[in-house]
Amino acid sequence: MNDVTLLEAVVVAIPALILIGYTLVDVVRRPDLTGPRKAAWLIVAVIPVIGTILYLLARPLSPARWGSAPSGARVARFVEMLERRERGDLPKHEFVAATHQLLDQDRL
Amino acid sequence: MANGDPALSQRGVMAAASPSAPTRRERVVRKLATLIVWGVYRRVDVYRADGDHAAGPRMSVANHFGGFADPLLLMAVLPRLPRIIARDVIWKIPVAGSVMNWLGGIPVHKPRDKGERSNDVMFAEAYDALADGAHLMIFPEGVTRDDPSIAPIKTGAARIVLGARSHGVDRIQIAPAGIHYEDKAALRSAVSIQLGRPIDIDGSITRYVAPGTDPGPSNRDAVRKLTDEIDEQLRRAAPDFADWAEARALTHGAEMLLRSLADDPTEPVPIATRDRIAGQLGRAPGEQKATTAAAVTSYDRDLAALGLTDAWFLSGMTGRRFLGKLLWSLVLAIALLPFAIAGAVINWFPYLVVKAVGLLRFAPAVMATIKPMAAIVVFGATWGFTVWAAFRSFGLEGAALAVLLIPVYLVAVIVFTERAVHLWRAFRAWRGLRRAADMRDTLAARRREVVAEVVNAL
Repeated sequence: MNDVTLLEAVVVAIPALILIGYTLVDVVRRPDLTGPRKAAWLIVAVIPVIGTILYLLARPLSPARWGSAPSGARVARFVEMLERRERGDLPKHEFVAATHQLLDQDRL
Repeated sequence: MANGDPALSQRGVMAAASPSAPTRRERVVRKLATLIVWGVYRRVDVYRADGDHAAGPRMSVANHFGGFADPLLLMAVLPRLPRIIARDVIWKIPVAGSVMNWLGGIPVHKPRDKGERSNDVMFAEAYDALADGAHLMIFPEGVTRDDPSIAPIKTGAARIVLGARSHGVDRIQIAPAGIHYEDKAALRSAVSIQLGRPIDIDGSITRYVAPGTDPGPSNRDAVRKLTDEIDEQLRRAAPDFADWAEARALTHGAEMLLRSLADDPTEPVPIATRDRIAGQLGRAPGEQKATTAAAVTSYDRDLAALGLTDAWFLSGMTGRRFLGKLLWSLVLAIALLPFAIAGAVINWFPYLVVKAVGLLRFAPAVMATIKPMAAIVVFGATWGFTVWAAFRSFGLEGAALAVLLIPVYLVAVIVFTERAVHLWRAFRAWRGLRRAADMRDTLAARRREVVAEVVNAL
């Protein structure tokens, strides 16, 4: 590689090193890889760049957590009431009154 | 109808049908779909109602607002990879047809093209798939739609399910899936998917099929009753509003309520919950619904005039936590800048092409198909070219580095841009808040009224 400036080297080297390092750590730490398969992937993963690509392509995605948890106790409480209301276990007026009560602990 | 079709194998009796381990193809498709969804959307929230969402033969029914984006999202998010039942026109598009076959899609012919190509084959294939315990998926409206409501749904789903049942397949469930787009034509927007409670056909069959009558798909009364049930359940899961203005207002009203309840009002609200609340609001009596929507809209307009958003206003834009988050955004943006520039150099051209495609005049639902298609082609070609150029200049090593780093630079430019926009908006909101200092109490009182209005309409 000729005529490569320092900046270019940094822009390429930093993320490449991070990914190579991540790959090695991931192979070691993955609980679903054991014994000979772990050893085999480790051999692949120490090949810089090409081994890294092969491993990252083959790696199963961690189970995607689609969605976010409700933020805070009051939201959780409200969601629980909403579910009961949708099932028909909580009459409308009680649901509305309880929600107003929750809101009264509001800051604004 | 496929009843009595000799070509149909009656495997039936799948009482013990257990979901088999995903095949290699399923894993690859799921991974691809998930990666694309992560790239295209900023957030994807899924809400699952109670009920078993993975077991047994199943027919998922979904609303169809987003064209190509709808099946992509569902392939990423549904508990098992579904086989898509779709109009045969898709098979006539080059490449798309092969992709559909590879995905195990099942083509439906329009009634008017009947004749030599009847739908018997489709029904037979669908019965076989259900007998194997597969998940099928259909968009029962039959068309992509631009209004935020459900079009009258077609009877196909009910006919397939009743037909399969009369061929001996039990434990079928019909599962409604509602897709809610924040902005279906935008990149990096948010979407929520509501997986409603599945309809258990074995447990409820007597509600649709009168005793002593034909249990199959030619029983019109049963087909109509089951279709009505699917219609009702899909309406509960999917957006069902009078127009987009109402949809936006009620969704934002729901968001305001959640923000009032949240510990940290500047955090993004859980959008699956938000869209469920908005759905409830949409079912409120007409007048109450209109008052609520009007209250939200007018509050929003006043905030917008000050360059504020509800989250910024509520936070007061002070406090260590709030300022700490802004500082983190700033540090992250600065650290990512060199990589973001690399990402911008590689991706500016395909980005502009996709933007230009977005300027073409198409109905939003059509655009939701064309834009992602164009993005896949143009970005794919650019990355391919970049790898080739790296190979020409630096050999195999260079090409491998390019393959490894192109996604990194892409993520960097996305995160950098989002953080920079966030900081710029924070600055504008801070200015707006200073200007509105004397109006703060009035606005806060109005906000309380709006939220109370929302709660009363629930």
